[in-house]
Amino acid sequence: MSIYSPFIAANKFGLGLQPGELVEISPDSKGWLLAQLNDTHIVPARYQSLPTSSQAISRGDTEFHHRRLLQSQREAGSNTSATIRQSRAQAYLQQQAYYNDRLAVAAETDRPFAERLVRFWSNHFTIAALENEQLLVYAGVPYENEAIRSHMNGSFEDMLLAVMQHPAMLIYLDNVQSIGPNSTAGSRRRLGANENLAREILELHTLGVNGGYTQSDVSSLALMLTGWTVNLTQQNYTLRSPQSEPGAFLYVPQFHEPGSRQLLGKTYADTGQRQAEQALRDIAHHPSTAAFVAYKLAQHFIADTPPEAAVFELTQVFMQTRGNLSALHRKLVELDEAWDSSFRKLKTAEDYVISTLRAFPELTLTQDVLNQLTAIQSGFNQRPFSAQSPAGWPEEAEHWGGPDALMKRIEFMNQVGQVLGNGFDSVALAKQILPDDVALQTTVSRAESRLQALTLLLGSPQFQWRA
Amino acid sequence: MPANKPALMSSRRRFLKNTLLLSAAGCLPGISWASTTDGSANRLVVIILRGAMDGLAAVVPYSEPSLLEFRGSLVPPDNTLLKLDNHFALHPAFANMFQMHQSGELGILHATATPYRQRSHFDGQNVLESGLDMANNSADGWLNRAIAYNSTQQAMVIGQAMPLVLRGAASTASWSPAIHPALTENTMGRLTGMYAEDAFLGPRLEQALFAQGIAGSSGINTNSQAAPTFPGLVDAAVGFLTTPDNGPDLVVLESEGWDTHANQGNEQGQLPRKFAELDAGLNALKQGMGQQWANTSVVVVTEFGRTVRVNGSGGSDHGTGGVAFVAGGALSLSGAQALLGDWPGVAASQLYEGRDLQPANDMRSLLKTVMHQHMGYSRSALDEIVFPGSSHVSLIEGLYS
Repeated sequence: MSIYSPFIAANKFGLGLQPGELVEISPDSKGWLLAQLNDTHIVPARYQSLPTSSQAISRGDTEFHHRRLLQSQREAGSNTSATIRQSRAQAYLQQQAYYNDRLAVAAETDRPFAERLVRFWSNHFTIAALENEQLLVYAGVPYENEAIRSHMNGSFEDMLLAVMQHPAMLIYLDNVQSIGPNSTAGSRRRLGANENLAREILELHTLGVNGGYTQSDVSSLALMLTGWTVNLTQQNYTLRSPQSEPGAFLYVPQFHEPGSRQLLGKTYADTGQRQAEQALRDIAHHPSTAAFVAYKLAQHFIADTPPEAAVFELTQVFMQTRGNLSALHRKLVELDEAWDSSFRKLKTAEDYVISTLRAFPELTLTQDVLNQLTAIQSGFNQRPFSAQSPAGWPEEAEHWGGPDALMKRIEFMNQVGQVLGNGFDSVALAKQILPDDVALQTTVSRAESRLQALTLLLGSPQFQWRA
Repeated sequence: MPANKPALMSSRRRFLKNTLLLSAAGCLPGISWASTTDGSANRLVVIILRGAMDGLAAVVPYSEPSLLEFRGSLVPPDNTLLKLDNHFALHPAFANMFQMHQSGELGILHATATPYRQRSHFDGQNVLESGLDMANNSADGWLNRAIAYNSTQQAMVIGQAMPLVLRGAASTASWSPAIHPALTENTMGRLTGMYAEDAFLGPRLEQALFAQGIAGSSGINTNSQAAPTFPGLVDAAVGFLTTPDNGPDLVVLESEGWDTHANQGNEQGQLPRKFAELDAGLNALKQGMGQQWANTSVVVVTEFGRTVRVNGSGGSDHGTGGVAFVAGGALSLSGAQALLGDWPGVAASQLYEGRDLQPANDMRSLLKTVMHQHMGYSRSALDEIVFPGSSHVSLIEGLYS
């Protein structure tokens, strides 16, 4: 029998089998995956009315400063509390609508492997729109489309540059406030560089923590990145650069630390904005970056502790193709280890919600249904773009499958059963979405009610794993 | 590992399998977590502050001449500081903790660090929670190894995700308020049977059922629509810890949001709000534990400290030496001594790598002292199993009588 199981293709590489899909995938599971790789950059139709990143950030910026103004009026005695509350509530609802679209895209896509890849990279380069990042409240999905999706068929280098010059990343990792201490602005106001973005680039995005860099490399990259900022509203309520596009990337030469810099043994002359660009282009091709990115891909798609051979082969492809992402994605499909069912990955909370939705293609995704499911995903502590650290969502089963998390998943499924369960044939569904398992099918068929049968099937350990 | 551990687990497993169809999941007589049943057993709460708390903002060495030069904008006005002696003061947000310090219920280990000397949050937290010398992504947690060694104690986290410190061979629990209605006993019983076949998920579902049972019988607020806040976590921890007969011995709580690269504030602001939350949390723990506060210790730890100098955006970057707290009615400190351990100073020539507070005090000395003197673990277990290779790290004198 071929190792290319349609269940592995759809459940482990993809986002979960849909009833009826098996016959479509079975003749050529591998080909089904490879065919998706041509179209990884296409923006789903659901996102057509989405704002651009600059529009989204500009709106977040404007509203944030409006609330700030209202807040100062409140402190001066005006009754503006209700308006502030309303503004925040509206922002949250609008954000929810964007996240609903993101959930629906995953549930509806007929290129689930491509969509999973986009989300892998989006998580590799995590941004978070948390409570203290009010400027980013609308920016998550536009960022994912512009910095990640549109570079899926390009090179790692191009994606890295796009991410690091994306306003959302510059805001999220504090580079907008990083000013060279000897720059025009820095020497006047005794300000200094902020090394947050530089450190996370080296540690989390490229070389990896053991990739051979030192504190002096971090400081050096931070200084090269000074001046990379965003056209945002200033303390005096005017834009930093009124003639430029609001909310967009902005290079401010007055912030840039003058002088040449050493990074990983190489000297970079002071070419202004291009100094850090050149450094990032070099880092993107460093052997440590190849190994680190290969490890993360294998860890996401194969196993929490991925087989070394698989990591090695992906590293080779990265080096040979100079970080061509399509070639890397193709290689993943061609690795025997990726099809080995003895390697398991536990679903993340988001995976669990998405694969449940995909199991019910006849369910109409109204705003009401999506609102509830996005709220449930948030309740599982995995609201989109809310990872608590710039490392993004963890990979380990230990993180996602602890006692309390497991209990909450099962209780969620029981609630799904309450909505869908009666009149639903779970025994038939079991055969459509999970590999043949007589014990599971027997348990489901002996349930005391159809509702219980559904809870048993989708609450089962088999449905918790991507296999 | 003592021989009674597997027996305890297998009987629990068997018990759950056989009785869940009949007995309410919220009431499971016969299983006990705690080592004693009279409520007098010692309890430990471990609070992990993720993101690296700025130790110099929390416990201010206000007499140091270089402090204002390096980080003047981050230091609260002198007249607001809660002074412990002529050199050190607590941040004004720590009003309750100041009282605890006065009455000998709060110890401060300043300029402390794990053996980790780089500046990655993730590796730093890995070392903090694994108890090893260096980051290791396949490590288990030091608290789990302790429990695996001493079968009579049980540990849990209040929260959905299992932190590294509790991961490993010993089965540990987690609990957070429900977001969906509970299942019927019948459905849960069937699922338990299915999960028993899954070596990874099976034991975790058992722990979840057990914690749910305790929560249901202990008056803990089991329903919450919003994500639990830190005070909410503390309330739940109190509920579990004070459960008669079978509460856990050790509880882990986590607090996020300490990575203050920008605009951290001084007297007021982002970081002081976190301080106030921690202060209120410790006070709620003390009040909630009631008489059992006398048997309770709390340790508050973070992965490392932050730069001595303020950065260009009103914040601080990743550093080395930081602060750890130990609190509890079980402590017998004098209250006169501001700090435990040594103080290396913050003059330019005294800084670690020219930028950070020196790591003068090994954080494991505090953890080992509490685990030995309060929780009863032997020195050899602590030196070799819980914090392997740490025999040279000595205990702190004077914490407990």
